[in-house]
Amino acid sequence: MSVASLTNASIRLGERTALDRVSFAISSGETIAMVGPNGAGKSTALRALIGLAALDAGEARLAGSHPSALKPSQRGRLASYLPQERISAWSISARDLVALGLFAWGVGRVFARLDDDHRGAVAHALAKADAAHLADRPVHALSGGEQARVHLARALVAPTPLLVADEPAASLDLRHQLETMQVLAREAQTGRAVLIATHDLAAAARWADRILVLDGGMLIADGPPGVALSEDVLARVFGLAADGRGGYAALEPYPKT
Amino acid sequence: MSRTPLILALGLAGLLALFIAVLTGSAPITLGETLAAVLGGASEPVRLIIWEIRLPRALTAFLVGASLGASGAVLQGLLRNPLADPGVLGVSAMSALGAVIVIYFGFASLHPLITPVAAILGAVVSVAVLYALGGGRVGVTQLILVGVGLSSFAGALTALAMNLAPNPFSLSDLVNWLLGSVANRSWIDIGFAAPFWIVGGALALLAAPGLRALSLGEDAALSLGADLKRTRLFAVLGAALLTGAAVAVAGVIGFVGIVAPHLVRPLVRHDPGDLIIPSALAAGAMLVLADIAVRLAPFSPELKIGVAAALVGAPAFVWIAATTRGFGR
Repeated sequence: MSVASLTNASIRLGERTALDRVSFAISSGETIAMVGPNGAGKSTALRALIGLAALDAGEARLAGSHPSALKPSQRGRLASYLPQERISAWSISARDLVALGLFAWGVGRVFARLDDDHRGAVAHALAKADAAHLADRPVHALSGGEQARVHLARALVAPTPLLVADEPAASLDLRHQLETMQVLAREAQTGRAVLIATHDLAAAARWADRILVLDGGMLIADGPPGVALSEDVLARVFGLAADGRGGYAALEPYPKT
Repeated sequence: MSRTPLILALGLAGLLALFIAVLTGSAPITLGETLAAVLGGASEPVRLIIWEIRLPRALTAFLVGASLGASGAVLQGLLRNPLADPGVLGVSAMSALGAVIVIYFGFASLHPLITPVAAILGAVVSVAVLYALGGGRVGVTQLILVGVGLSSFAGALTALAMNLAPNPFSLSDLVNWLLGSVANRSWIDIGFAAPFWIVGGALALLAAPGLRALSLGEDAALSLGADLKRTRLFAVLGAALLTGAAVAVAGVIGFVGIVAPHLVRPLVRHDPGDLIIPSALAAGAMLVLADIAVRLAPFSPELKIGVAAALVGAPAFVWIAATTRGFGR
């Protein structure tokens, strides 16, 4: 069942076409990785899908509705989103930050307090992101990578049908990079639709059911890893070739100076 | 500390400060007489001093402080910036400008509500300018600098307006507006500001959930389901109503709105939504204490409460600015 989709979606940012007639759909239980060079339009596509970026042409659908027509709280219950910029303006505790993920479930209300179910969900999400031991720490006292894991837990905590993560592994150490992709892919096994923008082609190929390749705002390829990351796409879009051992090598190394 | 006990404790502190303020003054009135007067007894002159002079003044100080404290907390949440404050950002100065224009050009005498409304309009303009220019997208430094510019500009325009005004004025009037005072305020002053304080306070509290979500940035807050349009509107209007009404009553009193939220923030686990009520109570108590200090200080003429607030508040502001982490993000 399709949870969200873009149909011929285009977005212009000034002179630049950030998104150029992109169409794809994501279904429940599916893990999709979105890859592409810097400036390919990945973040814009993710934001358009959940209604954070307005389309200049085409159509976005979230659970059958136009995201822009949904009430903010309805949208909050349909999609969880981990933005690339993981900010906390205030040094709230990791637990309180994760609880904000349940905002649309009433945690945000004027005099709201967490009930036991919410507490359990928060503890569970922190554990999934390997951040349980950080629960009581003020987030500004955490390292960049630790903060990233707390924000990941925030995106995991709510039972939304769609989970969208923009470069979730950025600034993580290697072990946590690997675990993050695994944790997100596992969410799909519980029936959620999971969409991840990433630069890690190897992880995308390993964990995703499907890969979307974006370049210059256009969708270049859409299919299972072996099909989407074809020799041609790798060379044309990324300037890479598979090294035959699950890794990639640059086709034309930067000239030595 | 959990929220309810904290609010109760700060509320008690505020009541205690008010009681001390009512006890303090040049007329020698004993503790017993004061208590009796508060409860409706005591002799006529004593009751008059307590109910018509000391209590309105103390309560004005408390309500003005509380408005500025709540306004500071809301602005900090909206702009995601611990240095935001109606005084520092020029909101108070723009309010004073609005009030001064209507008073010295003779409009204020048409209806008593014109002064608070003009002060509030000045506040709305300044918060809108700040939000349009800054609004969480620019760094702390830029935002503060815009506020400093706005503040100086409004101060200069206030002086200019008084120079051009057809109505006579004295230098002490200008000083009253720019340095703030709660001397000789009556129940009538409180009465005209009260509706704006009530509505502003309610709007500030309604903005609280959105401010909480905004901790994570605008995109994340929207994705969480926060209604940011509503949050912005409520926060801007709430802060403007609270500040505008406070300035209409007492002139520009700086730094309370930054020091109070800073002091109570650790007590509410840094939650920008939970910060509003405790900030208001703490700021109210602080301004009552500042007014007691002003009345006890051996100066003639009496020191302005705005001067006392700045004497303590400005160094605190510098200290907060110097020690804030992530400054200039």
